Amino acid sequence: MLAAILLSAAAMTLIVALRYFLSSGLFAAWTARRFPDRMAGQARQVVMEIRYSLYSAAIYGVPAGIVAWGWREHGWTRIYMEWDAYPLWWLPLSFLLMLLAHDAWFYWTHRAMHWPPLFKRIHAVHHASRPPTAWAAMSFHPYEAVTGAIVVPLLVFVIPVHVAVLGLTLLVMTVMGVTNHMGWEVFPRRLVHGPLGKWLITASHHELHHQKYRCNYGLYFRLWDRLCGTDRGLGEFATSAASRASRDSALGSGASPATLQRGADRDAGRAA
Amino acid sequence: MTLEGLRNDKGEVHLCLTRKTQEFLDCAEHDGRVTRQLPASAARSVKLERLSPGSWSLLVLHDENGNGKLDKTLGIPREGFGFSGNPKLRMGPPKPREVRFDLPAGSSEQHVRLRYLL
Repeated sequence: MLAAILLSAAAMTLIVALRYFLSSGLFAAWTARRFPDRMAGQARQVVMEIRYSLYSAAIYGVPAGIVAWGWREHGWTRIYMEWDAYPLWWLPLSFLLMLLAHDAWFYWTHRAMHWPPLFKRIHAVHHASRPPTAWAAMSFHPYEAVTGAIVVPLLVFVIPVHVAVLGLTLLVMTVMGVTNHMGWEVFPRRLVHGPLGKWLITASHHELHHQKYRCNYGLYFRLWDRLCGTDRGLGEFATSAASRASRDSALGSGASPATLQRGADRDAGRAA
Repeated sequence: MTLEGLRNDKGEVHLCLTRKTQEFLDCAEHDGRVTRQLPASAARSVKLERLSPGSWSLLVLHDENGNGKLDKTLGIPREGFGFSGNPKLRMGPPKPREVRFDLPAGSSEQHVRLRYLL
């Protein structure tokens, strides 16, 4: 039994890592094509982002693997397979509930991790990406990765969700995680600056969080930021030259542990 | 046996009962299997007689196009299927222990719910 659980966790880790390389790789390649000089000089940062993202993949794989095993072997979770097991309107509603629940969890854990003591120890890893790239999507300190890894494996015990809706939710999570960090807006201006954009988070919104730290904490929706007065609107994307200059001054030659720590101290001050 | 959830009266319903409950998925190849094939319109209630008491597994297929098999798209069943015990569906087939039932001496009823994934 333990062997089966371990195998399931290992398989999930592999799947999460592959998903990361596929999604981040695809959008990083797209970024490099659109803005050839954008990621120049960020090689060392990208190496760090990939390293932390792979730690995260291993951490994400454990709860996902345990739950997948329990689903297969013991029928755990409220995942269902027949389209009509619940009314059809439940399909879009369950999708929205999954995102809203994840968004609420993310907002509050994210805000907590901007409390200076936690920021220095944990969340500084994610903000060491200055500016973030598509590879930063899963670049978290292992403790932070745990807070992200448990969300979906727990939600499927609470929210009845069709297996395809679950797949769609994971797809949205993956795509938004990558695109929000890649340094340019992939969604049409009409959407981002239109009425829907007032409530949806895309790269334009999250970029400002990475510039100003103490605002725009949300994940998918601006709901909590608006309710709590932490929404500062949309940001501008730094040009490659300017971002390179600010990164160089912030991190010196690269993201060695020492410079990362110095960066973290400075950020903790800013986060306070 | 009563059948619930037939989505239409097209085609046929196949039943297969086996005593080799560990390999119930291979029912169609088992010696001593009990099978029935009847029009879907007549399959909501089926009387099966002279079965020996003991452990059995029952598989039901709603073969809507009447080609004699469970059609699939990308590995996902496209026609209705059901099992005794009505196990919860997940990736892959159900476990033998979920499908097995004990047939008592005398008459009894098995209730099977058909499921359609696509």
